[in-house]
Amino acid sequence: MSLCHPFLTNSQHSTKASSAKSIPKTVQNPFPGKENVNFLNFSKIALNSFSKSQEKRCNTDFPPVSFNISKFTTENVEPYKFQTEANSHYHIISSKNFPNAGHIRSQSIANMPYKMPVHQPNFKRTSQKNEKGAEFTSGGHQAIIEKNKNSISFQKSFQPQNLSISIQRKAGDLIEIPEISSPEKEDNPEIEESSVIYSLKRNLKHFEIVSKHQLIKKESFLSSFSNNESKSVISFPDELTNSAQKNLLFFKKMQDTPKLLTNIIKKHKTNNQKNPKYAKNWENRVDKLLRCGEILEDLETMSNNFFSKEQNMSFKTKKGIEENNDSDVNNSVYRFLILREASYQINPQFLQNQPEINGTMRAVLIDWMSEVSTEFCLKRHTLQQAIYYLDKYIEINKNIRKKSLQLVGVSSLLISSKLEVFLFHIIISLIHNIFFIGSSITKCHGI
Amino acid sequence: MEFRKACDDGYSLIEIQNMEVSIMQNLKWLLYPITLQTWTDIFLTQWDLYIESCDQNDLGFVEGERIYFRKSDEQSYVHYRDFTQIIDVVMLDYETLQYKQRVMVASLLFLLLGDYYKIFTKKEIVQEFGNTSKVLFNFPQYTFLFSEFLENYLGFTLYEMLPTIQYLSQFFDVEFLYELPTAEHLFEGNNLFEGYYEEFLSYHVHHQKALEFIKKKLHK
Repeated sequence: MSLCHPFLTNSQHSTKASSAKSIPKTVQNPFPGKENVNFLNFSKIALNSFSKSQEKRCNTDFPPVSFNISKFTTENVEPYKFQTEANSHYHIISSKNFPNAGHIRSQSIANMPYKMPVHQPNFKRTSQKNEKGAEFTSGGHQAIIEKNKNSISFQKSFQPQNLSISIQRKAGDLIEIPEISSPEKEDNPEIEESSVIYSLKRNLKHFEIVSKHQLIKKESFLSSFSNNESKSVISFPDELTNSAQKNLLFFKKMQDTPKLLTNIIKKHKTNNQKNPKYAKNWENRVDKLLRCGEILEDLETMSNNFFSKEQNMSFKTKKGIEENNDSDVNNSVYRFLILREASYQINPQFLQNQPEINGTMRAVLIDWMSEVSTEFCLKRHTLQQAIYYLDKYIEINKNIRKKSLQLVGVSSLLISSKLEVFLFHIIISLIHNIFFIGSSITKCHGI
Repeated sequence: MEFRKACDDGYSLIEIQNMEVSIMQNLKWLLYPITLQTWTDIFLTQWDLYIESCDQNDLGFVEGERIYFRKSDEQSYVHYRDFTQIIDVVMLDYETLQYKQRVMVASLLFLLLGDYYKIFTKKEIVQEFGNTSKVLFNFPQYTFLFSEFLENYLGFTLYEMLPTIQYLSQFFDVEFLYELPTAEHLFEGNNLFEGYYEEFLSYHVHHQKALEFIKKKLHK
């Protein structure tokens, strides 16, 4: 398994951020004792501490600056504006109900190429480009970016529960960030907190940018936590909190350790050339560690989901806000698939051990298998499954003879065809019939 | 047993059954691998959603309409078939196992879309892309569009895809054939382009010229 993980070696932002602001590498034990840790509490503290130190960050060369605005109401809405220089990047994340957020990005105000992510099919967005500037509407909200004034303003119809804006800027730009004060901040802190967590689990690119940022928040939180030694308000089951602790620690490590890890591996290789066994063991360990990292990240998102769901539940009881949590599934499913792909790998040099079989014979066999599968109306997936069985079998068993090769092919096709889900449309029509008849019966009986 | 007839009664039933058992034991009953098809299903639907939400201004450099794969019209069916046929040919080659499946599917998408949008031609792909890293630098607008898609939804970069792109560029000589699958008769009662289109797409079609192509390639 290689070191390339989507979150680690991906975009330019991460490298920039790591170079610009070095994150302290020594990790303190942030959770002394066995206290239950409240995730939400920390984000609140972190946010406050962060908002105090905003001005300092603007002067240094620190990429993303983000802040949250919570609770727009219809009564006191004036078009909200903030002024920037021309060539700065915008990441606007708006959401009415938390999960179904749009994410609008415009690279610069002058040029206005903007992109919107796609993986929420139910969510309609439009965008128009005028002489004055550009308009975004997402889920009934509107945002206007004016060209001449270099400002972003939201119309009155734009009333998100929750809005977080992060501005990514180049060195030397000046940004004036207005003070954000919402009247109900103290009354309803939950809204803000969940928004922070929410912004963690958005799509990949944003995740990277914010997470860098989040880290610093976490650290500031950690320091504050150790000073105050406050206890948690809500108690979660022990397993969850333990995993959360591990996640936090590991996540912190993972953020800036891929390079470190590679360096360490190199060192060990050079040191242990005399003892190759030991070196191999070490590599295996590192692989396992990395895999654990993936799993732990999954766990982190899971725990975040858990927390946010709890919050949403509380919202439901309070204000009756609906939730659609479809978009989050996408991400975790994708990662799960990647993990499974790693576990089902085949050694690419599997044909070297075979004296009687070569590549052309395999090609002929697979061609024949595909012919058979077209005859029997099999699906594409089943054929590829069968090919996987064949390859794996060849990899494991040495000295397979020419004669028995076709046997392997046939029987692997048989297995995979037995696993196939077929006659799907017939089943659907059956279900339809049952429902239809059932409903008519109930009507007859007046139930 | 119909499968037994398919191999000209070469093997007895007992032989086949024994082999089945031995295969499953060898695989330790891990019988649900992730195949190229799962990735194609995911990536193509993601692409359709992405291109649908893309703004017209971003696609200004492209001539013609937006390209879909899984919509139920003839044009997108042709695109889909092109995609799957290349995958069918690639499957026959044993060197494919060196590359990651999802990276391979994504790079195929990249090459095919470039061909459809007339950013580069098939000749260029076959002759030049195999040895050079020209792809990444000569078409900035298209690569920007695609890398945006990659980073947002698939989680890896174009640079990781380079070796697979170079590998896949050999396969763009293949002729495309457009036969309907033999499972077509299952859909006679229903209107194909309304209800069961996804089901229809998932059936396999044998590509007749694939073997010749691979034999040529391996003999080189």
